[in-house]
Amino acid sequence: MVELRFGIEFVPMNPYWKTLLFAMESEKSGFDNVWITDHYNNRNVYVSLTLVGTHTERIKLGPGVTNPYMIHPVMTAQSVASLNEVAPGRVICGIGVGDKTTLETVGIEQRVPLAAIRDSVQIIRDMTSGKGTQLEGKAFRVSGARFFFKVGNPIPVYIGAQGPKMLSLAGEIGDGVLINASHKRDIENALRFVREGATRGGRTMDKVDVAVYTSFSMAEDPAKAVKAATPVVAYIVAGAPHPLLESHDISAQAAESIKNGIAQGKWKEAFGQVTPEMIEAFSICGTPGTCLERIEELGRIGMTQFVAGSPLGPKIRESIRTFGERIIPRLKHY
Amino acid sequence: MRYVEAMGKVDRSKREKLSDILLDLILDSGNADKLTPELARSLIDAARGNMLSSENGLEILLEAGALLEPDKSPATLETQGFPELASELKKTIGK
Repeated sequence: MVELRFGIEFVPMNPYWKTLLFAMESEKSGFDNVWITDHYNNRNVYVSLTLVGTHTERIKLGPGVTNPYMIHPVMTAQSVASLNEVAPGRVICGIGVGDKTTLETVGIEQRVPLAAIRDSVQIIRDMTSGKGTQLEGKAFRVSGARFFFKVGNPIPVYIGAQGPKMLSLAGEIGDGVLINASHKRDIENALRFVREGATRGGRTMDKVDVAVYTSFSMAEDPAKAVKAATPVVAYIVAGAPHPLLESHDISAQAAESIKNGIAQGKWKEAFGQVTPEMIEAFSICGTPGTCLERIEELGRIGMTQFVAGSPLGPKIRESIRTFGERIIPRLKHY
Repeated sequence: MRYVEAMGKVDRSKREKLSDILLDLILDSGNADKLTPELARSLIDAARGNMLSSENGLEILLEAGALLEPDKSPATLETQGFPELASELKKTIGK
């Protein structure tokens, strides 16, 4: 029997009230977790999360994901600990290496990524457990940092991962892994590394919440779902490593051409080059029936949490409600 | 504010549908920045209390719809079976 939890991702690019209304709708529709992305060029993640926390009762919430380059992990620890006062026992924390291009715009380099995440997880755990942090890590040095307040409960830390080493680290030390992929084959590959990491850490996989963080687009009219997914998929293809593209029979040349179009602001040209194969490889997209089948498949190979990420569909509220009516009841236990 | 009176005449059984139509219109709008902070707060409070289909909730939604989508709001109401309300809203907006 498969038991699934359901998460939903919001990018706070809209005014706060819109994100909040969508999050409230998600709780009503039966989602378990709300993940809000953390980029300096959108609304602040913790302001958004605090509002969600004060206006919901049950749903879990957290950054999905923050990064240790822009925000020092003691500050992430402080933020999630404070959020935990607003929504006790409902806070989760996703951390990853962040988006390289976005970090570059502020002159930040993704140094020693594995060490940065390993150190960050320890710092967040130590700080939120109340014992404080003493760490001589490869990425961070912290000597005797502690809060002047108590955190009532442990806060699960999820690691956002795509490459083999980060996936393995997530298996080794994370309370969960946020696998950044949408295709079954990529997720099967990712799971191999997560399992390897768990074994290395002397843990069993039931200690790791395997969350698959997808690009998701659902509509009754599949063409509309594809249209909504296209810009997101274009960005994914433009930034995807060549071996990953090749594994889906997508040429590096095609990806490069989309990347150039995006860089030059020629959106129509760039998005026009997105093929059905790219949509298939990098999103879960289509009618509720198609989406249900693909999610069901992922549950059977070891996913324990499905995260519906951007764009969600041409009409976000409709997608949330349809997901709650037609997918969650069917796949909560099957 | 005569649209408020017209809204009061909407059959209770149709208020949920009206509320859904207006909320979708507002959430799908590309003019979200036009919503005032006061109206945004009222909207959130009404949503939190499950009051969006109450008279007060619908009044908030109509006001927000008129502000964000002055053309689309009356047109959508008309096609969705609320002609009287659409006409009054149009008059208020001055279209």
